[in-house]
Amino acid sequence: MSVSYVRVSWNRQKRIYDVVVAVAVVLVLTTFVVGGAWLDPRATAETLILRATGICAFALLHVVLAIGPLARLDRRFLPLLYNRRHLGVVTFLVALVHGVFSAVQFHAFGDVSVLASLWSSNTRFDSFAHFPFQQLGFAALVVLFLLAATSHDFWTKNLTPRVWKSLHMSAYLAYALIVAHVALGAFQAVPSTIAWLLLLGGAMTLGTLHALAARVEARDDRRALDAATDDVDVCELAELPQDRGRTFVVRGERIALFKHADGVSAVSNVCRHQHGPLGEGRIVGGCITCPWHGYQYRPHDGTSPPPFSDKVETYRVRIVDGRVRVDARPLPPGTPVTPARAERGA
Amino acid sequence: MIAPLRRTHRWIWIARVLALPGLVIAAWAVRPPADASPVAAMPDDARGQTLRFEPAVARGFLADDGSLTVTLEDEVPLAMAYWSATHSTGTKLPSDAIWLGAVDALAAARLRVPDPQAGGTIVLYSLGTHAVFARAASPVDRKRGG
Repeated sequence: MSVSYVRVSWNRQKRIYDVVVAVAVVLVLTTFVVGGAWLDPRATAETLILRATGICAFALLHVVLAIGPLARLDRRFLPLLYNRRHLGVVTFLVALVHGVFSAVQFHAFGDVSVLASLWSSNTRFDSFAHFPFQQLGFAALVVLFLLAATSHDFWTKNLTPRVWKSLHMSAYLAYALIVAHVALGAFQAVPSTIAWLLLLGGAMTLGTLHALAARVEARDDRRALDAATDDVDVCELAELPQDRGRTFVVRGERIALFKHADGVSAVSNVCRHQHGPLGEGRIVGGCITCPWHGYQYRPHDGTSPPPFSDKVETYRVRIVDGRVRVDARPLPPGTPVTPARAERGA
Repeated sequence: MIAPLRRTHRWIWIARVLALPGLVIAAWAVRPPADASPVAAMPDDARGQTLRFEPAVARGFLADDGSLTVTLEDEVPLAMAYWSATHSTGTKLPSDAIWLGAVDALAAARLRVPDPQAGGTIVLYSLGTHAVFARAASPVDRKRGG
């Protein structure tokens, strides 16, 4: 990572990912434009594009928000997480086309500016049934723009992962705004119960996925280990899988343990990049590899291999009579610790 | 380290799970009935003589002072009303057409014809389809014709 801006570093996986996304978006848009023209021959090209881009952007946002919990529930979804930000930027671009066509179609032919028309054409903020839904869509578009504009690693590093993560949680605000925009806007003229059920189902599916993922987290938290002393017994050595991580909550902090060729090492579970769960990662090329974006750290000192310089906290580990014991006090990021090997207890 | 973020994330989702289905159901409940006609009623104070549009896709009144009230029976993309002193046919807008204003099915448009006593035609034109979709001769012309 670097604090100076570097363009996106393309690799084969990113290219495949983006090509699949682009083809899927074009297919969805084409299907809705052609299907819409067939079902409603009187609709103008502008209206068809407006509807198709609106549906496509909304569907994409569902996918973006579902990837996180899906990857937590099933590792096979992890490849989707790898370039989730690309999907987010595509979502914004499709939503932008929807917004521009809406602005032109409904607000560009008057004698006031588009923005003035947008904010003055409906000011019934006191009415639920007639609430100005276009303003809700505009607010969502602004949020999506902020997220897309700060999606590069340049911003992750400069804003710090904590601030960046907090900012990007506003994706949920954008989602809520769009649900309200759809329910109080276009759907007011949609008599189909199926369409309403799809809208409700989308919101409830996302809610359920996140609740299930939260259950997995809560299960880990319930296994939290509290100890009077700093030396905490965490598990049997045999419980640790070879070259795969395992997470333990020790005194409220998540620690990732890895059994690798040189022994057992423990580091903070929080990746420096985007706070990904290192304990759900693997050892690849001798390094702990974050499951989210592939950021790597050496097990014995928690430092990224050159030319990178990111560091995570390390922990002292001992193996006594076949049990793994961790010193709960974190060492400063990048502190070398000799990997633990089996020893006889005193 | 990221426990506060995780707590915030959890509360956002709890709030979202509770609020959004409620919002969708409430919006569904307040939507207009499916069988309600989207066509606006002609206002009570609409004055003048009835206009006979061909085809009958619009209703309207034209008063002697030139005040014109028009509403469409159904949505037509970007519908506009024009006044033409000539009696054209076809789908092209007459070259002498004077723009009066936009018309739609959601609300009666209140427009003004420049010189109704001189006779002419109300022409309804769609900017969406680029075609004239209805015409109505002014009542003055109808009298002359009858």
